[in-house]
Amino acid sequence: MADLKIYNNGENKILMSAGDRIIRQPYDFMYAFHNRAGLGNYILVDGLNIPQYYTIISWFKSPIGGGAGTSQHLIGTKSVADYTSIGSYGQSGHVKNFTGTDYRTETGRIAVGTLTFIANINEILYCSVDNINNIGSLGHRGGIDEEVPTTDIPTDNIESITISGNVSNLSTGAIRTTALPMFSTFSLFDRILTLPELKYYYNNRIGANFQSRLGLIIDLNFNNAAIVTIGGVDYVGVEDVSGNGNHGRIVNLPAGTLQEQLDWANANLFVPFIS
Amino acid sequence: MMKAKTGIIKTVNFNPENYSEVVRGSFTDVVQSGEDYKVLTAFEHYFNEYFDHVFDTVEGYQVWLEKGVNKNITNVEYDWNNEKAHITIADTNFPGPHEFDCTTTWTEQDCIDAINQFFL
Repeated sequence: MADLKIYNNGENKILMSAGDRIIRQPYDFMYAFHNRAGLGNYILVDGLNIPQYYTIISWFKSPIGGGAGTSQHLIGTKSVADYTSIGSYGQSGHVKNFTGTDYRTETGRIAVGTLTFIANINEILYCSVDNINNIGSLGHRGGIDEEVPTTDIPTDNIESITISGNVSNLSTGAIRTTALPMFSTFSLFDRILTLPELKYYYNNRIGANFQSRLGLIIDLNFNNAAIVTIGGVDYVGVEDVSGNGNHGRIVNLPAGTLQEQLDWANANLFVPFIS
Repeated sequence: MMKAKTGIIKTVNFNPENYSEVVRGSFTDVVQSGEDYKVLTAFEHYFNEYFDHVFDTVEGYQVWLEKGVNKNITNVEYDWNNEKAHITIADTNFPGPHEFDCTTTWTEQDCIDAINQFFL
């Protein structure tokens, strides 16, 4: 994936390729979830039943410089020793390389012990890892690749997703407590998006619209916290605008009333994605 | 803007009735130096006298959780009018001075024993 860069010319934000070709202007990512309060806050979406075929689209960035844009999600399986890592550019795993030809790669696995983050059973743990540069604009495909069959994919449906504000070193497993990444959007389809769909999203209407919302079951824009109802209970979280009610709940908020938690979350956990 | 703090109380002294209904269900359990504690991270106005200590920062709490209390004694002063000894220790969270009843000048071991008893 070519590195993308954002410039703010005072009025409009301009998204440029690594070759400084203007891709789109103006562009407004608005706000992003940023686990910066020291409480280990993260966003949990549970009560799901996601099949093995799915696609994640997410915009994120990290202040860590150098290297290619990378992110990663882990899928827990029945055995900790058999979890699946689905990475992005530069990492092993299924790859949605929307700009290049390396659209499909073999499923990779990261040896146990090299990562601090291990997803629970039937959970997607979505986080970012070292070597993130500027903007990550990545589509990941999970599930069985029809062209590269694999046995590494868990057989059970996914029940929860954790969107973490933490970042770990892929090699050492060390958790970074500074330079935490920001997550601007997280969308999940219960189908595998086609390459033309990804190109449409990233190249034609970059970050703004999907070509089709068919199968879009989670669509989180981390612009602000809201009071959301999950299973009949009110929480402070992020609203799912897909219409399916798969809201994200912000975990590890200080104890207090919903309004207190809401005010605190908006003041401490949501920041401009591009400043 | 409201500030979040973290408070601890020994589990043996914990009574949920002493805390606001808003937060009493949010305590978690930790063990430090073999002692069971209840821990609450909440907005500052929920903290009252029914805590052994309230940490202003998460970092302070984490230092205590990971390392416990640094009991190295840095200063001892006496108040003979009130028969008290005031002992200061090197811990960043709990430096003191910590007050003890005292009628005679203590030995170094007396001070150590007092601090050890205070921070079980």
